[in-house]
Amino acid sequence: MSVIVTFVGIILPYITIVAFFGGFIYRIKGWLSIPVPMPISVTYPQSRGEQVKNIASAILIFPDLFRKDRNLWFGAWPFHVVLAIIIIGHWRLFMDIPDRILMAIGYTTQGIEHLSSVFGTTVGIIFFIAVLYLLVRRITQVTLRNMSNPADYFVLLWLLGIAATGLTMRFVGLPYTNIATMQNYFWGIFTLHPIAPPTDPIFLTHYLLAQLLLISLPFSKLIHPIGIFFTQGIKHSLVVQKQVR
Amino acid sequence: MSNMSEKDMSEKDVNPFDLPPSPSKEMPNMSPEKLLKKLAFKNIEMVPEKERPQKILKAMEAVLKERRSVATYLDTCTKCGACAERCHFYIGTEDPYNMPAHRVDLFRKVYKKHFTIGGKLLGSFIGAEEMTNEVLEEWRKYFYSCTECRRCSIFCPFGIDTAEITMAAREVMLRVGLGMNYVNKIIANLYGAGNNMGMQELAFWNSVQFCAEEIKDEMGIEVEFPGVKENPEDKMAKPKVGAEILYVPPSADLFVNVDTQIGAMLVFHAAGADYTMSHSASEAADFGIFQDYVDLKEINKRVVDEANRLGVKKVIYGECGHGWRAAKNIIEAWNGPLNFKVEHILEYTERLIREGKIKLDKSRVKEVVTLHDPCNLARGAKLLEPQRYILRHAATNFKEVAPEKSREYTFCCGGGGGLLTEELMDLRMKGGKPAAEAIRDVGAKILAVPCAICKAQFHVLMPYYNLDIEVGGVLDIVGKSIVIEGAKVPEEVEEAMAGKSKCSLCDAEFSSMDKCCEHAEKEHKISKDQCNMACESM
Repeated sequence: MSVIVTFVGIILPYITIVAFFGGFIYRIKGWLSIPVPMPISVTYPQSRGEQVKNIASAILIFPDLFRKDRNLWFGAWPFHVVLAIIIIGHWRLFMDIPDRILMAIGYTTQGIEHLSSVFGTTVGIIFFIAVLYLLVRRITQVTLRNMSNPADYFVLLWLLGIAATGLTMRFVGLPYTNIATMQNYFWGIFTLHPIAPPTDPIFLTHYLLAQLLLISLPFSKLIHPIGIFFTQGIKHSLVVQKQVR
Repeated sequence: MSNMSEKDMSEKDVNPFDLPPSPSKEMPNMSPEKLLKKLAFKNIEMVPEKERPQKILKAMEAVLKERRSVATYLDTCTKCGACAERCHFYIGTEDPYNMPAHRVDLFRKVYKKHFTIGGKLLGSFIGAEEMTNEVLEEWRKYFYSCTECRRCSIFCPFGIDTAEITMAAREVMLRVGLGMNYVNKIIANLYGAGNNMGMQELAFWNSVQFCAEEIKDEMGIEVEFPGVKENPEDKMAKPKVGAEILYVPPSADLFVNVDTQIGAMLVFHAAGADYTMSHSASEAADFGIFQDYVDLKEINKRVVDEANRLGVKKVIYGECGHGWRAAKNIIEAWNGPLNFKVEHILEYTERLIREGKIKLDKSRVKEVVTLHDPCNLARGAKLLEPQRYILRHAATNFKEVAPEKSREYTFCCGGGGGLLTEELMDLRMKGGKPAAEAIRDVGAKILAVPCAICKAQFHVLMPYYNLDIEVGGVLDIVGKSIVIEGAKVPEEVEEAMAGKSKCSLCDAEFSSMDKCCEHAEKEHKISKDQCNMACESM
């Protein structure tokens, strides 16, 4: 194994795991340790059921953003939805639970592969387009361009890079899309007995970029899905939905 | 009060209403150092320019440790731009730094550089920047051109509240002596004289007496005086110990927006309420919210202390926007537990109407009336329904501002957040444009605004955009339409305007109000839109 393969495939994954989970705990603990001296109380009294419903819809369909900034919603919502689907799809690489669930509802192994290639590829393309849309929006809107710093563009380019390498693997159909190989590899990582990863350069690039993104995630603005629970985003969804009704 | 009024009062016992308004012009000119000493946070000093960046960082560290909102808001913003065209100052000035996220970025870049791992490692790549005096200059410019109205926070997908960052940045700047002259003056006034207007106790009771007399002149009824006088002829009075209600108006209601005070007094009279007022709690506003938590708490505490001293069961706040936001959000948490209930005068009036304890005759107000939602009532305290209920019952023709510009989407008047000063007139007029346009589109004759700062701003804003709209409070309209047994129906305003008038400053008489206004502008330097302070119809 070359040095690069060893680093990306065997050393970096452990750094990623520690930085990702440790980073999140560090950030959340940091936030929680600060007091809230002046809570702004603007919510309406609502039943628990209503609250759960409103919070769930706020997280799943961003209704607030849809009402208030539709142009952004058309980039942001598809982006986050396909991102969630992609994360579920990649779950297959770690464990066979998704496959078992699909088999339980009547899919054959071939059927799953077919679903993965058609659905997975479509979703990947949507992801690529959504990120591109967000990037174009950031470049073309003067207001946004004025306040963006290099990192704001870089994150989007980075996501494009991950999507592009991922899609390339789809189209070229490299041999290690074989699920069993990947599951073996990750099982090795998780049980602290790492084995050699696939050595294809496209895969390694994809894997490297994804890991670096995960490492930076808790320490950058990408922490916003956690931050929303600390700001008033969720509270607003409670208030505004009540008002509209 | 100013030197001028104190002198006048001692010489010939002048009613404070006879003096020209515009308190900002009358305030004593203190040096910034002296002003800072007058604030609650007594250890503020003018830090020499060289040491400022260092001291700022220390103050920032303190703020970051004491308020969760600051760090979470700074970290969570993705700069998606949803807030961009929502800020009235951005719409009005088109200065990119007036975009909420961009404004916050001025604070965030320093935060990143000195307080985050990413900023320390990657520096300017992620937009981190060292704290310098140049950055401080930008802070001063742009954090003092935010009215803390929170409109951006409503449009933010994360609910990030730029106002919180503005408050934090201003507090940090105050720690090195870079507070805002106007806000400092007002707070110094409050600690000195007991209210923002700088009204001494005698002037305060004079104003209340003036309102009672106005009611007697106009309606022919005697309302109960909300204080105790040893001798009915006395000018001085004392608050009523053991009254049920303590009414806390913004002091501007006793100085400029007298009709609002009259409306409130009529509501209390019609409901037969046992209420009192007190010079020690003569200010509902709390300018501490614009720059410093210490002052915020301290100013709020004055009301609590006075309510406890008088043993009242309820404190009712007058038509003040940020004062109610401050009170609602902190009074219980910071100065509690409370022995009394806290209510807003609009909620109180609405309840009285619902319960049938006061009756309104809406046929008396025939003009089209519209309502401006003050940002601090709408977004800071969610007080939205009572004023609408009241206006539907108090006016024949109540029309709302377009839904995308009212309620929690309301545009700030452009004068809030401690910016209500002559020095910032240009910015205020630009920032007030969206609100003025929204009101123009309704085509109303009367604008009801339950906020003293909004009133002061709209009095200037409406003429600036050539809008012939009368500005007043919600209670002004209640005062016009309230039905009280034995009371004369107040004359139509137009009739009063058409008759003879008198200048109360020099007792000269004129054939019409307009002529008197011309005279007041020429002789007493009172602008025409405020000439009713000098000219009275006879």
